[in-house]
Amino acid sequence: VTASAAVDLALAPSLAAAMAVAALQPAYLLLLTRVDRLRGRNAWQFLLSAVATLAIWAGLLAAVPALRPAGAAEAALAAMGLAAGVLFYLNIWGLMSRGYTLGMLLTLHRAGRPLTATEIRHLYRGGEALEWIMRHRLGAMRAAGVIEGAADAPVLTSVRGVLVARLYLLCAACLGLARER
Amino acid sequence: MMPAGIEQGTLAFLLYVLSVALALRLLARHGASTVVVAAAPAAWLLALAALSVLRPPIHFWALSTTYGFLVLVFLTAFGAIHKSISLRLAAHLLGRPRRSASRAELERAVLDASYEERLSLIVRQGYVRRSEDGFSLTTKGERLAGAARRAQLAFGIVSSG
Repeated sequence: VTASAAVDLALAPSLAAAMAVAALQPAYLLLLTRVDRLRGRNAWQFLLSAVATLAIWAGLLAAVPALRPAGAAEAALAAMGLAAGVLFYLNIWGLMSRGYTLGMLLTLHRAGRPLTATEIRHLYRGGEALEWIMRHRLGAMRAAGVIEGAADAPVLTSVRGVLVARLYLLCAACLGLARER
Repeated sequence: MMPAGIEQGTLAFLLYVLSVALALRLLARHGASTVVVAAAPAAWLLALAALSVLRPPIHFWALSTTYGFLVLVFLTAFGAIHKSISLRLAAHLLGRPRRSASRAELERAVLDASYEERLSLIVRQGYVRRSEDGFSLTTKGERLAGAARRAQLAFGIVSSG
């Protein structure tokens, strides 16, 4: 539908289908969180829901020829529509499952009374304390080959670790985040 | 040649990046995350207005899809850079002799500093109030934490952090 000469509001069926399939990703995610073997494995749950989104979209295109993109530009737009949906939910999922600041608010919410800064640290993540973050992040960095050496004195690896740190500092400087924590 | 709608969306995204680069330097006290998120709809509306005058017709859905996709890629990367404890640990180690530090030093320099900054940010943003008894949630904070907890329970998320 073209509303006026200045704004073209025509929505291609292929893009509408991609957006509809992507919008329903929380429903696929909700089903996956009910699978016993995936319980507590938030990253896997999300990854599989993204794969399901892609598979359902592909299935829909195979079943309904009218929803197939007409040309490369429409295909690119439909893929961007689908990916935008997945990225939108990824950001929300990341915040809910790994949000550090949200974790602080939830600690206060669970306590139901005022807490000192030290108490928030100790009660963080249901009593695992803030040091959990250090253990978790150092473990992930070691697994990714960014650090090596003893657990109580980690060393940045000479190639991957240095590259990651330098890229981070460069990006932070470009974004004006150099002085932020 | 790039289709007109995709080109318009890309131009709108470039406007967003320029706005963010400027806003992060001028409005840092509001918190970088707030700035980059708030700039997204603002730059989109500004681009719609500007392009409807300068390069009509606007291909609304193609522009908005391209813009939304590029902005979400940017926000995902930005979130990873801005909030990442792991990257800050790596940067700290890079500046130390032999690229190494004790765990106690890392906790002090990265974790403690980040914790204090975030506590101060949620007070500034009105989610938490500070009193003689300590820190407690404001009504706004209670609303957000309650909604987040309900969503966590619905999706079987044990805890965040």
